[in-house]
Amino acid sequence: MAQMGFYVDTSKCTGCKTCQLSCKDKNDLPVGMNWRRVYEYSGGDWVQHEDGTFSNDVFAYYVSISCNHCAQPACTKACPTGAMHKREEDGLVVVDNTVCVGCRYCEMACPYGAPQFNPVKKVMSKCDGCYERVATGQQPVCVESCPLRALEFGPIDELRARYGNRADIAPLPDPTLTNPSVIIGTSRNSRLSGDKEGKIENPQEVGL
Amino acid sequence: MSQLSLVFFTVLAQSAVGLFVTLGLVEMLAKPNEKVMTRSFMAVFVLLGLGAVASITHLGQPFRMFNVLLGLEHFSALSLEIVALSLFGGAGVTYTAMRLFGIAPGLQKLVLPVAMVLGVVLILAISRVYTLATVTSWNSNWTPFQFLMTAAVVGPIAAAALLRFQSVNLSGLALTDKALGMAVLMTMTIALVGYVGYLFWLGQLPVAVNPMAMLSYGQILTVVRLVLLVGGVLMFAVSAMRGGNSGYPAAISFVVVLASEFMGRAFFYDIYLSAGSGM
Repeated sequence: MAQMGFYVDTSKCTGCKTCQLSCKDKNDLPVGMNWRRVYEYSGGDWVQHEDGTFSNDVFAYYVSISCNHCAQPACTKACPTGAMHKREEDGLVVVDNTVCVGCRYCEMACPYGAPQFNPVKKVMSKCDGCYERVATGQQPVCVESCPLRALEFGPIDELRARYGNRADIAPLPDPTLTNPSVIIGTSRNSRLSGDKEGKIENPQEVGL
Repeated sequence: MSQLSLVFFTVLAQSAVGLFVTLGLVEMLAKPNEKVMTRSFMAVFVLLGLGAVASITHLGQPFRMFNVLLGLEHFSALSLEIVALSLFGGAGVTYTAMRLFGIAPGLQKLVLPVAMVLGVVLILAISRVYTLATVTSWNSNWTPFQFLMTAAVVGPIAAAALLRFQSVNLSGLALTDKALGMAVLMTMTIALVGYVGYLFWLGQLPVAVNPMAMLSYGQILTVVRLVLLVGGVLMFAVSAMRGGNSGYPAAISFVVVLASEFMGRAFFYDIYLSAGSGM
């Protein structure tokens, strides 16, 4: 099984959210449901120097996150029906919405906010890595639509060989919890997971 | 108040277990009137049934509810919870039916403790659903502790209310009633001390968001819950110690303490804090 995953380069991302919107458009997602979300993370303060002058150390960066198709997904482990499952052929985590009971337990368990309840179909829904597009040789729609080329998708081993294995970037959780198939390209402002200096500036937009 | 279905399900199921275990102990130790006890055991399944209905209202697709057994293949905690619920319900109903129809009295003595143990297993199975490594504010032994305490506090009061309302035919009620009063005073003390410990533990969690600051109503909810718990328990315990056997103080205590448990559980669900709480 070739585990597929994403590379997110936060040094390139400008927070334009084309990825988020192209995903919404392709999957016809209602308001409030975003399979890909762009977290705006920022912080900083005024710093006083020895000579009495002040300067600021504010920082900001964007992290575009969808489902990370984890190697040990919390959602599939929690799911009481097996509807939330990992595809054998590419390791993508998808929901079988003919089986899902809509108990939302996967939503509680996932630390990335990936599974989201569809209020119309009354079942869970989430990023499926656009596996149907990928099967035809295309890239996921978020990757193809990114004007900054900040997103990449492919076998995670190949991406790791190219970009390393960093995923512990704020505001993401400790990656050892679920071993996500995502690599974060850092920017000069990047803070590590567990950081308390910064905060998410668009909590409502990302569903917090 | 985001998970009301689950608030009602967990509290009612745990209260049903508490009532069943208390009645079981009364049956074993006090040997009271048979018909009174049979009717009281039947009340357990009213509580459990209400809880089960509440749990189904939580599902987006209630008609697919039997799909939750498919998760047994990978030991989903939620599937195991449903199995534990069925086992306790099955054993408890079997025991109550055996009493009702006078089937195999010898065997009843075996089925009762088995059903009581299955009740405790059910509470632990429910708590496993919420002790998730990815949910920081639930992932501790405070979760099973609180769930067990719900059963331990509500059970004796519910049992006393049922027994008192049928006290005309109940021999040896006074002693049993006092014992239940003492029991609930002890369990309430443990629950209170533990709740303070739980709140301290919550306050020192290494997370980006202060759990206590997440809810605008968190502090008032906690205070009202504690006042109701203490007030409800004392109302029953004082009346038991004084030798009163009217059903009303116990019934009012039951309602007040149950309300307190609902509030405590609503708080528990509302301080859900994912390990991705920075997200």
